[in-house]
Amino acid sequence: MSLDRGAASKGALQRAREQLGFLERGNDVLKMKRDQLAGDLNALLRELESRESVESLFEDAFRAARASFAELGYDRFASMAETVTPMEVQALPISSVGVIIPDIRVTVVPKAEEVPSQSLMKTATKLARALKEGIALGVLETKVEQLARELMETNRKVNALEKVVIPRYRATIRYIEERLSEQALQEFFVTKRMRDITREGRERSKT
Amino acid sequence: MKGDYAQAVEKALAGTPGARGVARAALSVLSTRCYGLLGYVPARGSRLLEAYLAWFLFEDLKRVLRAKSAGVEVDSGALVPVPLEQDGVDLRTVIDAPTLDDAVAHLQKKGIGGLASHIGDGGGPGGISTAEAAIDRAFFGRLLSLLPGVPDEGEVKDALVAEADLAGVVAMADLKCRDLPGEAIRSAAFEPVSLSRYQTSSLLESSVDSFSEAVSKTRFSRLAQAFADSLAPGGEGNLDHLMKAELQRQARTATVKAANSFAYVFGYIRRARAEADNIVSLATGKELGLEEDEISRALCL
Repeated sequence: MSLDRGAASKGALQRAREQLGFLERGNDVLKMKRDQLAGDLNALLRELESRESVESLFEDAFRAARASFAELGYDRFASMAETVTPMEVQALPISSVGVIIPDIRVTVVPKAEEVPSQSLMKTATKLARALKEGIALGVLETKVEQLARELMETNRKVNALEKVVIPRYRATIRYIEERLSEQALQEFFVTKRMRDITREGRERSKT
Repeated sequence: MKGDYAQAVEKALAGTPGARGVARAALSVLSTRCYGLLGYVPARGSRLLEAYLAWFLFEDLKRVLRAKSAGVEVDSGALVPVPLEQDGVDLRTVIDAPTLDDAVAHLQKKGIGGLASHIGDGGGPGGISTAEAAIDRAFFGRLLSLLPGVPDEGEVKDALVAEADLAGVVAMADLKCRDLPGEAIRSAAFEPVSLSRYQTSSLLESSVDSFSEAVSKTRFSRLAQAFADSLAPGGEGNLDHLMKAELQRQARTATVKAANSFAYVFGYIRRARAEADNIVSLATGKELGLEEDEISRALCL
């Protein structure tokens, strides 16, 4: 959308008004999107508080793993760990208000019921839970990050429209309107002068 | 390190650095020490000792079956070196078996029965954990069948029955934690021979919460609290450590009380096993930078 101040015509004014209307409607839509994103983000921020509990789950699992390593040694630990069924996850891209958010769902939770050592079974259960919660937290944090980025971008667009583009269009429209009004006044004076000259010539020829 | 560990550790560290190398060296020394005893025992006791040393083979078998069950390659370096082919069980055949079922079929043929009902295509609940309990059941069953006629039969029987029965009770508790039905536990765990039918039934029928109470009515009553701690949800104790500590205690008693008896050999082997386990724990704990009290908890002293 270019602003051509040189072309002060009724056509240019019409076009500028149409473009301004389009920009204002776009701005309203972006504002609605911004409000929606801010609302979503606000709701998710509360859930982010779970990071502390997830971290403590990992710390607990880590402590248990160290104790199991010390009790069993690396080789026995590795051998017994083979009895834990692997975790399976499904990654799905989900669109929220036009923002693509990767969603990772744990489809198969690791089962530690067959781990021969009781201490390692406890460790594996703790680790499986920590991993599951950790993935959920990771997805949540990515979602927050994506939404925050989109919110910032939308906010920049709204600000640019409100503070730069729309005011500039308004100024252009005002400029064209003034120019057109000046042109109309000038034409009026020219016409009036012509009429006066014609009238003076006609009177002079009569006398 | 000093003593016979020094050379083995040096050799092992050249191939596998760190605590893993030390652990493999410790197990290698343990195997050499224990199999070396076969040359000193009277002929009447050698079959029993050989059967007792099959513990190493059975530990390796468990590792191989875990790897087969998970569909991963067997790490031969992590296996305990077993110098003898025992009971016709060829570990190489089990390792090279293309599938878990082929490995199980080989073991079934060699007298380690009941495995197919726990793992593989026809496996029931519990999977590999019940299969390992069944391997222990086969191990102790064979061991006790060889008792008649061995030197110092009474003392040896006391020592081995105590170990077998403790393993059976621990296996029951362990399988109970996995919510397995009583029938599955009965078919997999070693049935203690020194307990009455009523005591065994009480153990099998009790819930996880009341298991320690059932234990308190058996010869293992002094371990009831340790069982309660291990079985409590979020409890600090664990059954593996309970078993190791009790075996160590029994071994210590046996090596003092039966210093001139054939039973001493079994006490010595248990203590050697505990020593190797402690070396593994110390090396791993040090490498992981654990605090002294954390390492101490893993040790059986």
